[in-house]
Amino acid sequence: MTTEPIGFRSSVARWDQFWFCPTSPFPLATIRIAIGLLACVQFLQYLVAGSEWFGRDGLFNPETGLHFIGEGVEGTGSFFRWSILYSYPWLASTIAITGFASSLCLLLGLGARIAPVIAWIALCNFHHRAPLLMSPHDFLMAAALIYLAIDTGRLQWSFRPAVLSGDPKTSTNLTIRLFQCHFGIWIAFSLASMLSIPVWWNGQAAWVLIRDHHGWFTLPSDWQSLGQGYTHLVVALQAAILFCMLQPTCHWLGRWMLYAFVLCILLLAGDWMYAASLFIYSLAVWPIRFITVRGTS
Amino acid sequence: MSSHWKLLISIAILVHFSSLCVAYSANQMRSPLQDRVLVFLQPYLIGFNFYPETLPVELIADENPPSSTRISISSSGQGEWSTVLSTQVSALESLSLHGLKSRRLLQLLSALSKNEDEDGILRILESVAMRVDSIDFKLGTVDKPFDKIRLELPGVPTDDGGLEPVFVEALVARFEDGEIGLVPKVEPHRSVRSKLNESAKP
Repeated sequence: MTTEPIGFRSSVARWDQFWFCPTSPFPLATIRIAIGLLACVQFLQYLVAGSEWFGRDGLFNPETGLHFIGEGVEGTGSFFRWSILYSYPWLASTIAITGFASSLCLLLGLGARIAPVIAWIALCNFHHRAPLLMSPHDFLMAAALIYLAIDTGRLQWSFRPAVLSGDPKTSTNLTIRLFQCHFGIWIAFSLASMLSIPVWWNGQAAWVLIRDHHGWFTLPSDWQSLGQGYTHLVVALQAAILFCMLQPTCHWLGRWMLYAFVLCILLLAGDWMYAASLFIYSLAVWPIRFITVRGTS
Repeated sequence: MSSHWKLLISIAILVHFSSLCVAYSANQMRSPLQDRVLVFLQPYLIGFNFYPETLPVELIADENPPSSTRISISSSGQGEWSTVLSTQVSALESLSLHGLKSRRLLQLLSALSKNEDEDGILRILESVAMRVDSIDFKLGTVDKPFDKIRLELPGVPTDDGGLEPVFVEALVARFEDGEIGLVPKVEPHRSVRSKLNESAKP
């Protein structure tokens, strides 16, 4: 019989168990497929509208972009904005096609760790080109591609027997944990941010979003109290999601809270890519197993 | 995995998430210490695209959400304004990158107006004007060449509970080399804020 380690050793053992315990790649494969699909859609959009926005005569042309990253101004960090679209705006379509191809490889499980790295480089070229035009989902997407470069959760095809096999790996667990922690931190700061801004807390922001048809939800403009109710609901949902993340017994509830939160984003803000990104991150916490496993290797 | 690798990875994880927490928590307001830490971490946070710049983390990022913000163009002799970009996009448009970026750009303009950064507003308007000039843009009854561009913002609440729109208007100057420049209307050093003329509603 072994004795339970106490104090510092106990914490180290838990840390070790949390981050470095081998895990099945199936949940990560689900995340990889979903991220690959979303990235494909995003790069297709950049292919269609990239030049219109970031081209030589784009709506947000290179000179304007350089102005807003604070080029030449100390402390703005403009030196680290490494997008080549400032110098070569005509490359927008090429970068979008490259990003789409690598995202497709990610979706199909091809290209191992190179695919997310190339997709990330392509995506960052657009993000660094106009950081002030980035939406919340852009940060989540970029981080997801970096995490997937550690492990893509790639499943091996085996025809004898005809199954998908995936051996538990430490790198898989590490990647899933990174997704989980990032998701938790994001929700926590989203909640803190909403609570700290008066126009959010008093419902004015939500009401304006509803009134101006930002989301998929239209209401008469005199229903101001609904904005307050909506905001309080979103705040409560985020708190509930955090609670359920930390309580394994409430995991089933957390998943439904997350669905409700994502629905609120769609109805209120209409930012479907943000909703999709959050949903994909939540798969690390509450996995959905849509890949059928008929055996193991 | 060896214990040395685990130690290195553990340190990297702690540094990574600590950096994220500093960046996210400094999104709205930041202390001088946070500012110094962020400047130190810029190569990592900005280089790897973890730095959310000035965008708050909440659902839609602005203390004052944009309402009916739009960029319009017009030509002399015509009272009508044609909308180029607007926050009020259709449900289908809101699914596209163009719809998302349009809202983001107008949100940025709203924030610039709040900070009275007329130079920043005019830079964006100039960029939009150059775009409109470079394509075969036809909206409403305005034909090229347009010579006026304006930004309409929701403005300040009035006594009767409505909102008085604020306009930032500029004249479009075309140079011989084909370049475009903007001249702020009335006052060259300040944006123009005037009351909405009913006949000039787009």
